[in-house]
Amino acid sequence: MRKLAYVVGISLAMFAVGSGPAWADNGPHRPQVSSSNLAGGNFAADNCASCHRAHTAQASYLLKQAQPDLCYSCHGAGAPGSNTDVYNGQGVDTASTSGWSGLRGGGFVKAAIDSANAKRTAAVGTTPATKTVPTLATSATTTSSHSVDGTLVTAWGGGATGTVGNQVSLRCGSCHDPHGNGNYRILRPIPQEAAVATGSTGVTIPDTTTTKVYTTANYWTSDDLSLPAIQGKDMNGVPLVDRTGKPVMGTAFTANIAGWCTQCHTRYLAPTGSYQNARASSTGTGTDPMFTYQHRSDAGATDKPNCITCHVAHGSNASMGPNSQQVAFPDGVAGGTDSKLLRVDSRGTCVMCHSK
Amino acid sequence: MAIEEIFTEPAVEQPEPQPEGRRRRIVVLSVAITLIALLVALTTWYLRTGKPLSQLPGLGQNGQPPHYLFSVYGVNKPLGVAVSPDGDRIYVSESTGDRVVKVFDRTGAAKGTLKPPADSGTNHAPVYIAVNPRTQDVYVSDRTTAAIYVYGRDGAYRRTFRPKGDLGAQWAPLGVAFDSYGRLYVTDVRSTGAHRLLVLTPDGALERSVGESAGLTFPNGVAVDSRGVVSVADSNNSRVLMFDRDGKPGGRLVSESGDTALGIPRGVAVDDSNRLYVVDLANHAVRIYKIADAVTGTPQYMASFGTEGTGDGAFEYPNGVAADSRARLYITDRENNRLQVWSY
Repeated sequence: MRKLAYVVGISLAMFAVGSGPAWADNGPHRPQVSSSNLAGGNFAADNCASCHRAHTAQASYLLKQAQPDLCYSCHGAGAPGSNTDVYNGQGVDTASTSGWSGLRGGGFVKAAIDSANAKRTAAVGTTPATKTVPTLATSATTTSSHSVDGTLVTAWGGGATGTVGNQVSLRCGSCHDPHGNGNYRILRPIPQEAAVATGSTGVTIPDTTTTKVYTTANYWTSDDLSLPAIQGKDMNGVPLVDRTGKPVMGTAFTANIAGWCTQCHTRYLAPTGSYQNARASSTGTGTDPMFTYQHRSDAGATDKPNCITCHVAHGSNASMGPNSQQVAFPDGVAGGTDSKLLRVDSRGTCVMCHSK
Repeated sequence: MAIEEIFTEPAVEQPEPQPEGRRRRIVVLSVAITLIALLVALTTWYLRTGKPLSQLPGLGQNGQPPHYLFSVYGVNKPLGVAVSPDGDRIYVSESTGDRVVKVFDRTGAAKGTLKPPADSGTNHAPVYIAVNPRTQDVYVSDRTTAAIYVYGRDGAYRRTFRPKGDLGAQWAPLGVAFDSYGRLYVTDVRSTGAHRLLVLTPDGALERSVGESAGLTFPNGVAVDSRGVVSVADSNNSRVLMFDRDGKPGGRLVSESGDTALGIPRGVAVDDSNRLYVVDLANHAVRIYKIADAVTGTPQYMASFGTEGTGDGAFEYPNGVAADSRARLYITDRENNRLQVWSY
């Protein structure tokens, strides 16, 4: 009788897990992701053919068509095949919001960051300080975004000392693994085109969350507190320690995301201190004439800055004022209206932490 | 004498009409009458249906695909399309740009737009569209506000359709279609719980929830044939599932190879000649099937049309399809920013 109860219980649990439609971060295109799909004949449905052709593919990786249009078919405007619209920077996850909300990473063509209305209140007594960047009522055209159409762009800070960065050609699949890998947001442990050491295993951001939240009502809240705490790693997978030798800890997201980003932007990793002499390599102490000083970027604690604290991953609609427009790119080209993926207008990002 | 005899020779009598000649005249007359009757019948049929002669009953089921007519430009990454029963109004949803539903007449001339009410916010994403055959009202699913907006044939906003009870609290309506009784069929891609097909009465009461155990994954387009059989594009599972009027599973179209492959099925439509159309986004094509005689049968593949490209008749990620009573097909061609019109 007890065995029967176990069997029934396990069966019910498997059914409950398998019945959810959300593909989440194990990859939307992996046929065995859901037990219900196994039972439903997803193998017979042959999802491979949705995106791939063995001999008549028109794009690399045997894709039928090139990215990002293929990806936008599900994750584009209207999101007819997913809950995320990375074109407009919106999520339509009805589990976490009523209707839509801003996509945490912003969007590649539009984003819904109310970057002009960032607010910060000082702590009063036991009431902690609050920092908020609301969402817009509707998405606005981005002023900067990561390239996803394969255009050759510069990964600022990447590559050898003395250069401004490697030339890379990015597509959706450069950062995300569409087949699923158990990583947060199906991020590849090593982004394609990343300049990592031979033999590197990359940076993982383990994801054990069952309820995926892709949206936010406050763009300053970049962490995902539902992730487990781990020790951060640098771009070569080496555990990070701070100036005192203590491990850099945090949630899987904050602890490792800087290590992940700096697999391309290698010389932006600053593991200790508020300001750090730039280094010639991830572990060296030499000087870099180009990126000599830099803001810390790898603190794992949720109240410390990280790459993703100031920047969004996909694209931002933030506006740049006259002074901020004077800030050139590392190669000396005028920045102009490019918002450099910042979450707040002009350099309001600085003021969110530094009360100057 | 000889001359007299010649002049007095009795006149030659006219021969009696031969039976063969009479028959010939009867046959000719019969053929003429038949032809005239046929012509009248054809003219009447044409005036009534507006269909090309190739669609005469008995001729239009030969598996030939339709041919390209023209394109309507000026729509930004269109997804959904619907047509009024008389074919006079074509509705197309834009997923970028103004993100409204644009209205065209049968020639492709712009006739206006459908816009949600101001108090519903400014961020909308219209996706699929259906025309109520009884009222001519136009129903538009909106992805970002998780709502269905209803407009009159004149384009005026009428109301927001909501299911009764708490059903609409976390629903995410996507595909929409009507049956001949005015029941609304909605694919629900909610985040909490299994994706499903909702059958709703005209006043929003839930009549049936279908497919929750079928593992539907982002079901998109839905269409109902004259017998009440519902076809649902189970998009991310690369298949089309059929359910009978009681919600019981019936036929299914699954991915095969070659012309019959189903990559990512999106829009579906059924015409009045019992042809089922399935837009395959990934293969840039439209598949045509003959609806099975048996309610639980699987439709038979007939033909396909479309190829990948930017020229006339080529598609770049088609999504929606609609069929009118004049044997015309309307297909949204997303990345080419146009609506294509095909006909038999």
